[in-house]
Amino acid sequence: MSRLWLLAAAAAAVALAIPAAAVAHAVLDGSNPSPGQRLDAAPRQIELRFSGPLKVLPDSIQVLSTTGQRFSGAPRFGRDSRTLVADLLDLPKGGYTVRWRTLSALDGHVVSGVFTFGVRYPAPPATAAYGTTGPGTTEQLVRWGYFLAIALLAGGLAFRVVLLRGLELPPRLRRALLISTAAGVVAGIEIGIVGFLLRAVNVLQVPFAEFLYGDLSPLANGTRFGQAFIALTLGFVLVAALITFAWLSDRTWPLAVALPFTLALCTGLALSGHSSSGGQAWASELADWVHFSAAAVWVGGLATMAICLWGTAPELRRVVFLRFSRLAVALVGLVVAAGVYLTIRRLTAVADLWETTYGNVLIIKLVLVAVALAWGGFHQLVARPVVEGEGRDGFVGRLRRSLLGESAVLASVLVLAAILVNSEPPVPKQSPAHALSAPALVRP
Amino acid sequence: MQPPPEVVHWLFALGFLMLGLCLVCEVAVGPEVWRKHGWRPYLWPTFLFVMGLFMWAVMVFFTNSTVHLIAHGLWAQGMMIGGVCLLGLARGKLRSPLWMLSVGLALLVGGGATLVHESQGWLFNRSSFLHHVEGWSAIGASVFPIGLSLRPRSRVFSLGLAALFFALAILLLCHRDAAPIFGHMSPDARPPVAR
Amino acid sequence: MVAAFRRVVPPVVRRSRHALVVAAIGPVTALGGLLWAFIQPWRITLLHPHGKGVWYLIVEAPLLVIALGVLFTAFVARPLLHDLEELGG
Repeated sequence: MSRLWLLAAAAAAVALAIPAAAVAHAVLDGSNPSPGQRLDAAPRQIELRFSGPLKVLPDSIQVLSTTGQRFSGAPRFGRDSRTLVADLLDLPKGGYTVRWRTLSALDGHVVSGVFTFGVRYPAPPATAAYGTTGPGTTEQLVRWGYFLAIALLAGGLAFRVVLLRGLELPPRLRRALLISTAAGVVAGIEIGIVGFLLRAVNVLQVPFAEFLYGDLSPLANGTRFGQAFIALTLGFVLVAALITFAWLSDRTWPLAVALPFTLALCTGLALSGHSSSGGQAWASELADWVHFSAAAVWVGGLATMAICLWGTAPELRRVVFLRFSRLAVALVGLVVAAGVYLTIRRLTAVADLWETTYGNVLIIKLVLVAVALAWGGFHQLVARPVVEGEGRDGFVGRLRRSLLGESAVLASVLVLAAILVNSEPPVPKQSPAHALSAPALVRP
Repeated sequence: MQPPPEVVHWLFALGFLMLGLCLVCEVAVGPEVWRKHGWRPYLWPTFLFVMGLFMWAVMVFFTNSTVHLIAHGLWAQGMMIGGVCLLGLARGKLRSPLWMLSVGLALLVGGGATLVHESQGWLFNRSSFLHHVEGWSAIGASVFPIGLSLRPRSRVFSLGLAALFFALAILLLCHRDAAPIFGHMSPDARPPVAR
Repeated sequence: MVAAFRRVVPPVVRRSRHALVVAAIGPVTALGGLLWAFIQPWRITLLHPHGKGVWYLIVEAPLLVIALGVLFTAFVARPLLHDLEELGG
């Protein structure tokens, strides 16, 4: 034991003795105008205050209008080497993006960030900063993965709490359900972080090495996207704790508590999407939530039934299939009703379906939904009576492939849902005066 | 209303202090007595797990750089996974002591993340110095849970892990964002606002 | 005879040392917090606000260490000592 402590002490001494330079890494301490500020008069100068000394780069401060016009002069030191200033041209009414990028003098790290402010106008969110592009393919795929994770989690929990209620479950099925829901919650947390970082890369517009020291706080704290990230991450963590408790205690009630929490998390998707804009945003957000929650339970429940139940508990297949059939009718009704409402809200004219990208994606989605509904209809109208009636074991056993097929079609619907959530719906044609204050036009 | 970073360090220090106290008592009385009451075996694994839960809040609210967000996320996951494995072992859901490796892995990853996320050198200020010591301590002390996974009843390894928890608690309590270390403070660090 | 004696007596000695550790660890922690408060009184921000924000008034590190020591003694160490005695430890 004493030898072990001696070794540990020696290792600590060596580590402590390694000489290291007192190098600094500058972070943005404050600015004038501050992030998200709405000014009543145009400022003549912008000032950025950092925690450490800097080196001025030619593009250390850029103040850009919504059309990308640069309004800032050459950056220079302010009162000391920690303060950068730049003179501004006369700023007209509107939203402005500040992109800063400077060299931390002592450690050589390039630190960067972005924020927005408004002159006699609300500051646009950081996600709408000039230079930010729309979500690329990677972001669409990540969003899809996020949808799948929530579907796996919500569907798995609903399946366990609602459809298996009162049934004696074999241990293998319990284990499979636990693994499935745990995978959903872990994937939700991890994919959520990746999605946030991808958006941040897009907003900051810097190479990866510089991104490591990029300031994410304007995105996390000042935008609906960031707020949704915070709420969803903390919500997923809470659900993870409840699932852990259910596993340890062999009780179902923590899962029953986790289910409404998980469904509530779906509101975060509406918050971060395009529902928040325009009049009657609450109705649109509510419809978005109903649409996605019902779809998540439908897809996730179906996949859970096919993957977890079919192989582990053959004796429960019949009764659970019939229970799911009844629930699916209600879920499909909600999905379709909310979907129709949202389509009417978001399309300004029927022609948008073929004249805009949003409409084109919507058409493909509707086609796939029709295929899924037809498949579901087959299960409802053909398979269900057979299962209810004589219920031949061979037929019930073969249903698994069909259930997986319907799940796969629904999963592909989620790809298109991910693209739609990340896209802007068609903008109604407005008068120029009205268009000046339209949030969509804050973006380039 | 975000708490200052040093206050967050102090709160987590109390968590580590609790872990150390529990572990020392467990070693002192032996597993039979420690497990006599139903709730006691879960006590410090639950603390570890709950600290992981709170670390997620730190991750989402302290986003002044990407590297901070990633480091906080790694600690949160490490503490939660370590806590879950220990709870599973205490409950009998997990049988193999090799699950203790999760705590060792958490210390290795968490220690590495601590060192990576601290971009200043050792003697920049007190906070930087402490981060370096914490990171290397966690990496060095990962030998104890790894040892426990091979010899679960080893008192040396258990006490070593307890010593790490005490050391982390003390180091975290020493955190002050603007303070010198060994009388040294880089002129480029922010000046101390309090003694 | 000696072996038989050791079978009975040494556990008593070991028991008492273990019991001492369990009994002392909470108070020692609380004492550590108390000493810290005396050595660095400015750490009790309530006494020396210096314009510090509300978090520094809520989170008083030395007092929290004292509280943890006291609570640990009351809710963990004492029941544990009781169990130790009950099981003949």
